[in-house]
Amino acid sequence: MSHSLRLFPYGQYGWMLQVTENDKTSLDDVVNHLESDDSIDFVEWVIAYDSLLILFSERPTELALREFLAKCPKLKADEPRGRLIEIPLSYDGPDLEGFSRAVGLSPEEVKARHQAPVYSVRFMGFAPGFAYLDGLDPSLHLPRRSSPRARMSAGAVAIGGAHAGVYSVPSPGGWHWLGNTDYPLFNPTADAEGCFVLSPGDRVKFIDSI
Amino acid sequence: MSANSPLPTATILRTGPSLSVQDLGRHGWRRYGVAPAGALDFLSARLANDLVGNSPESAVLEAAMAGTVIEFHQAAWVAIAGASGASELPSWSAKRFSSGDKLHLTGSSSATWTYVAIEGGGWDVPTVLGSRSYHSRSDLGFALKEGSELHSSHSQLDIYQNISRRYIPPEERVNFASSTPLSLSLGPHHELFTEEQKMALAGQKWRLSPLSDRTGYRFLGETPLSHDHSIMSCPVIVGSIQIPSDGQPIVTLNDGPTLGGYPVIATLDMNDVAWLVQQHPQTQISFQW
Repeated sequence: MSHSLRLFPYGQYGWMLQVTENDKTSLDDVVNHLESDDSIDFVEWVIAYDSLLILFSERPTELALREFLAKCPKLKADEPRGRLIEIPLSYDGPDLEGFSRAVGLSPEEVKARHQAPVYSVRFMGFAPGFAYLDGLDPSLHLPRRSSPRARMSAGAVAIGGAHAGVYSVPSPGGWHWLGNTDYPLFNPTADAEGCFVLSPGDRVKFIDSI
Repeated sequence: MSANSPLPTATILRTGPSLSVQDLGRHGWRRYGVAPAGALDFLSARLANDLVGNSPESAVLEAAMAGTVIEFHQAAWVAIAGASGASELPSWSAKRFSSGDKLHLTGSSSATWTYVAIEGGGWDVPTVLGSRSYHSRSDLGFALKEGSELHSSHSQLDIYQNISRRYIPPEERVNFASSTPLSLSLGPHHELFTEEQKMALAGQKWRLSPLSDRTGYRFLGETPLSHDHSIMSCPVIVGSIQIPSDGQPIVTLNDGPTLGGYPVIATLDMNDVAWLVQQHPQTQISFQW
């Protein structure tokens, strides 16, 4: 497996692992291996769309890293990764009507297709606790708004490009605001364990709030 | 204990253009989208802590330019290191401030960021995700404003009772004036750029843009590295040099997003980043491979 990963030394302390389009799951396998195998000492990892950064306090040689990667077990494609989190929401966002028109569906169809999949947290970034979710129905893909809003609320449930997501903190944003959830994804006052509800590799289902 | 005593150690009377509590950053949370924050010029921040006997990761105040005014309510040793001194204390030195004394940062024409350290383990603000650093984009940490009251971490202050002042000799200070080209290391997307573009990065002077801040420093040059490559978002580190399609480089800094959308042509060493952040807008910088 490791021969299909490109390794690139990134800064003074990092190794960047890059994959081609067809091999995305191998980065998830590396993350699982990093988290479960003690033989390599790292500070942290950051996963993105097709790349994984591993930061070290002392960066190992490429050979040492490849030896580590060679031992990486490959998880089966249908083996569930992470936890399943159900996020209840109301579809009361200001962009629901406009989005529905733009994709040529009724708001009810948009809701149904938004709720149908089990999404996976592909990666996180942009703001603390903001998760980019894979698995959005292609009929709901829509490029971001041409001008972002100055403020999306925390809890805004949105679609941007090919991804679904939930804004975890208030911030400017260009995604289409379809609904709102009270489910707090980011709790900075909690201890470290409870701070982030979602982690890369978790799965998400959107459900109607009661 | 000072953290519970009703009397704060100090009050911020004026913040100046940019004042925040910073330590060496919060690490280990990038996978959740949390930027490290932390002192931009970590070399000067460490020297400020040294001057008052603090460990290097103790929280300091980071101030940009002139205008910060602090009043002390307890006698305490305070150090300043970095760009500017105060009316009451030159940079690269520490002295005992008495209760009622004030400190006015004066700013400097040669550098931008100044660090104010207090003895007894540094400034005691709440820790978030293991760090006292403030990240303004996500409002993570303790925001400072006029009237903010601050405590030192320990109640026992006034450590150097028989010493009038401590200072760092010139040869051990950070030298903001030197202008040797900054070393470039290849970035993960360097192959998207032609040899001519890589030579253009190193072969011209870049002017630091005033649109620079703790998230990133931007550069303007005569020959931008324009391109139309697009990449999937990828992790960026402090010191990454990204090239947007307009060809004007951006160096990611401590408050920048953890993922970037522009190709990373090169990276800078951390010690060079600490020097770079101190340069004023319009300063000319050059790079070399």
